[in-house]
Amino acid sequence: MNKKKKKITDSRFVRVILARKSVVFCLIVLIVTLLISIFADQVAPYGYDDQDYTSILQGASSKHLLGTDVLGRDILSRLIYGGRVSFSVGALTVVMASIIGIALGLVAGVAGGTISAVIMRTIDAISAVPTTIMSLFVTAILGRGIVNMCIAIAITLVPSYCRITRSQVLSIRNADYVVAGTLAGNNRTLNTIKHILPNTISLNIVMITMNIGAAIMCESTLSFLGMGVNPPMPSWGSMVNDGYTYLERLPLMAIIPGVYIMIVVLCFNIVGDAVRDALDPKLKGTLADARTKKRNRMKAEAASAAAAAGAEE
Amino acid sequence: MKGKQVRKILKRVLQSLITIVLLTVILFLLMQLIPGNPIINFLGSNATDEEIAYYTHLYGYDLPVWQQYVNWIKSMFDGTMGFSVSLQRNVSEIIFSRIGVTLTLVTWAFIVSVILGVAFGIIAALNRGKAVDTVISILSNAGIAMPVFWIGIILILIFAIRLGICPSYGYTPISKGLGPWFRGIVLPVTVLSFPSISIFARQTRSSMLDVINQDYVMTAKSKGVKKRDIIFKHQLRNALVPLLTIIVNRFAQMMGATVLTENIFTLPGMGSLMINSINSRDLQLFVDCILVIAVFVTVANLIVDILYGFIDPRTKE
Amino acid sequence: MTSRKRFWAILLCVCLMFTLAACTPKPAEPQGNTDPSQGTQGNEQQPTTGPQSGGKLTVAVSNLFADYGYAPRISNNAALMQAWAAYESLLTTDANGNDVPLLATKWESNPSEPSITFYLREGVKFSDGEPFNAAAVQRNMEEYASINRSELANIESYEIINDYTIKLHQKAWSSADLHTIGFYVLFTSPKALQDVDSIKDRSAGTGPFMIKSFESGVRIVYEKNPNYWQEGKPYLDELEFVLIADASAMSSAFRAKDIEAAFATTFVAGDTISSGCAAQIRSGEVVSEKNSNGLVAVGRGLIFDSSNSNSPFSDARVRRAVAWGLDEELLNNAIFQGQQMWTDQFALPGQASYNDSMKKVGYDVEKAKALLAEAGYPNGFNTVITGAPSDQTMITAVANSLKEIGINAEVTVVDTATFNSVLVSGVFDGIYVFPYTMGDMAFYMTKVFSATPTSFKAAIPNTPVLIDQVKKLFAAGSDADKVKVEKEMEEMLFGEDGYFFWDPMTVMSPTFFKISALHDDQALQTSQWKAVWADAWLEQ
Repeated sequence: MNKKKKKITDSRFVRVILARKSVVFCLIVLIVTLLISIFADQVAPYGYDDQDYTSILQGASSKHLLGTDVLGRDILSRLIYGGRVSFSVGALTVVMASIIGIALGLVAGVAGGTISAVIMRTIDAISAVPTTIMSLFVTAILGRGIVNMCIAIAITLVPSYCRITRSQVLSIRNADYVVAGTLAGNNRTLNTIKHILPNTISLNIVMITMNIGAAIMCESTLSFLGMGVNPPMPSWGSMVNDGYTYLERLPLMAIIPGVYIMIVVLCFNIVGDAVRDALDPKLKGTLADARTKKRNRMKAEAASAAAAAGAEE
Repeated sequence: MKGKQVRKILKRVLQSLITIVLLTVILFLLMQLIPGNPIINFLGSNATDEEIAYYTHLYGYDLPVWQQYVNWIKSMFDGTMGFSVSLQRNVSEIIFSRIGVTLTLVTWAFIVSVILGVAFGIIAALNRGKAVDTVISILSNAGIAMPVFWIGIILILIFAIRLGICPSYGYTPISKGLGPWFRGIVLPVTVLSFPSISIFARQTRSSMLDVINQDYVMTAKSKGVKKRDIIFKHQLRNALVPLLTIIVNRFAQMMGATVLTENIFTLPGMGSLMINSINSRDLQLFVDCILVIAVFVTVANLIVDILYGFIDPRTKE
Repeated sequence: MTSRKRFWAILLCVCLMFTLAACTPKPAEPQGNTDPSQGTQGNEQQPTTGPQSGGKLTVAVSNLFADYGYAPRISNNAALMQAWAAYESLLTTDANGNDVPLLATKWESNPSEPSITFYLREGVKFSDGEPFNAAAVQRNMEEYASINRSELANIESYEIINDYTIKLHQKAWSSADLHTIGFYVLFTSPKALQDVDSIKDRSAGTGPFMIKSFESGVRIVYEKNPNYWQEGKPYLDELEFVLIADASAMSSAFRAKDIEAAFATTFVAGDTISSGCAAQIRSGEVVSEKNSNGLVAVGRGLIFDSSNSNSPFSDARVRRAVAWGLDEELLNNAIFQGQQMWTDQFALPGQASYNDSMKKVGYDVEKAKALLAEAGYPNGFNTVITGAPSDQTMITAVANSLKEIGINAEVTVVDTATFNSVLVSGVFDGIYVFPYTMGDMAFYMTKVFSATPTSFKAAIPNTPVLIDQVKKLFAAGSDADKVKVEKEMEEMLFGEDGYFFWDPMTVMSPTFFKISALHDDQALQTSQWKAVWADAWLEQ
């Protein structure tokens, strides 16, 4: 029996996503912010490193819509350029984490036995350390910079992908059609993977959209603690850190980047919710019995809610 | 308890133990990779080569790596957990003096967020579609997206600086009076619990809504069981299942969030200890702190997994 | 639908927040003293009565040491400021930088022996009752030497002439020994040194206070020493140093009247507290003090990887080009808003060893470019500039200015720990922003220019001429000789044809904030890291 491969561009999926105006609104906000950041050179009124010692720590004015910082740099321009760091960290991190996590999950699920035990216990060990602390540790090892930060955050996100993938593998491995395929003579491993990937992808996509928000949040936390990108490149978290020093002179400097972070993460979360709702019914496509279905669904919900739990801080 | 259940529980405990041991190895290896030297940071940049060599030998940093690991594990059993170069005393002493603050903070934040979060979630679920639900949903969504440090800064700006009703630094122990203690702790606890309240509210609401339509609830309703009984006996109990996983997860994240919170509010807890120790490259101290927290989290996970077995018969295999 | 309502509501909240942020009134510009070279004793209101006894002083600091009980291990300047509450040294300085007696009443140097003799003050006791005498002095110095403290490295042997006279025989004459031993050796009771555990978190010194309690990483509380040798002092009952790592928190603590004083070690910290307490400073409730004699000042400069033959900075012309191409004075004033001192040599203008008469390097972009072209870099070159997080602003500003002369410096900020390691090893690429203590020239230059350098050994090449000059510094017999040799060294390093292994950028001065009721603390007046806690008193 041929199971139709689920395409991400399935028209039902797109329909569900676009059904709610709030989701559309969020998507538009995200796309606009992304575009502004990509075309920062054209959009921003000043460069992010244009220092002007004559107008330091000024409030909002016609020349500088959001004021200037301690070196006379325009805050609005730095906010726009800051988006580059946030988006690129968000994207790079989840891509890394998902590839590694899914791969590990597949290996653990298919291989079973000792290999699986070792992998899962290591994953447990890593996830026993809270996100902030783990990424702090790894950043201390690797040093500052965007790529290093991405690696640090990705390590903390890997467990969620790994666990979901592995549980999917385990539940599907014994499904009728997979067993049938093996009996028909196909290689068991390849067969399993062939059938697992489509279903796993949907859960992992939900995880990805949830995790982008978490990654951006984590990046801003690291930048706030002084471990992020190198100056003069601005990042929203490091801007809050800079602003914190001058909190009483110019509160704007600390508050505005925080608002930006909140908006972007919120939008990602809402879009993520919508994606999950859109993909949810697809979970019913397996031939697993009702009890397993219920269990899988609860586990999936718990897992994606746990990802949302990781989305703050 | 049946023998099979006991065996399962023991197996799970063994899993946790292996996780912790593996963690010590991972942490120790990572520790070796960090650039920077605790001795140099302790002595300052004016240190001479002789001074550095003397102290490196004194504190055993010139021993082979496996030997240092063994010494570290041994030190955990003899109660010292190693020696902190930057603070010149045993790590266990330091952690013991600091952990009280962190635990107080996390416990209160936890209690507050579970109570408020679940309460808000129930209210929202029961009043689905009405104004109350909308407000709660908005705040929960926003609350998850707010950066922890940002909330802290704004609260400090308003309550400590502009209004002056809360102290801006330091921990006020209960011995100074209930009033001052409360004022000292209310801001950090708010900061810590904010995201958790939002998440618990959201999760409780959606779990309750899910369960509302389940068959057994319909059956109960048709049998004439009172609404209140349905909520507490059936809905909540089933909503609890995914909630427990989230609660443990939140506990872990909260321990991580104390790093930021203690930094901003200058509280002498484990979080600020970790930041100071990583800055002074006192890795022994840093890694021991991580280990303590990870053990807490692992134990919490263990307890929840065992409880899962009792609460939801359907997840038993 | 609910979701739409949800959306507009969120948008509304966000807009509200923006308005809140924008409408929050900005406090007025800080009114702090902007001319640090004049000192700020003028800010203090004259007290209406004489010194009053009693009261507790709480001082916020941004760093606490590990253990204030065992004095020999305390060498960090900021920690010394707190340790001087319980311990004393042989000499101290006055506001003009002259050596004045403390535990030693007289001293004699004999370059020909070579030796230094100290005549000790009589009638001084340690806080545990033991007498302070020559034997105690020897015991302490031996303890310092046993943990390899560099101050005692040149002492061969001790000769106790009588109970209150001790002669230190040096291995070779060194003009630096008097100051380094005189200021930095602190004395603990020999009885306590026998049992080091007894001074864990307890002190047994000769100072006005003794340790009452110590919470590691939180606070240290000192109480009056009943055995103190100055009658009637100290005036304060208790002195507490509390750790507040963050300057904004220090400023809030002032306004909440949780603390009476704060010690801001960095410019940013000082600026934050000035802004936060602007109202109190204007009304005179809070005053700020800065150091004016530049003693034990910490300079901040750019150092180059001149040892690396592949680096453009191995050529002295390139280093001089950087000095010509940066308007250090303007940068200093712009970044630090005129609140940090600046100098173009190792000493501050006005100090004895400052060389007024030499040909100096100024600010001339064309000259800088010409030098670069001469060295073979007509179009400039790419390099890296590294520093600690606290110097972020300065590094960025310098990198920006260097573009003018064609040097493209990529900014790298490393964390403090890595920064410290590089300071010791001296291995780095390009330009490094580093702190250096501007104390006794011989003592500090010997770490850099000697056959066995301890600082920046990899960055600064072996320069026989400078090593010889340092030897001359040590050998200088009289003060006048010493000053002459020091001035020569200034010219060799920072003159128009100087080596410029480093380029001085700024001189940091910590700031001491206090309530106006605190008098006679003389904080930062005698040196950048000292206060006279024995004399301090609070107006009730």
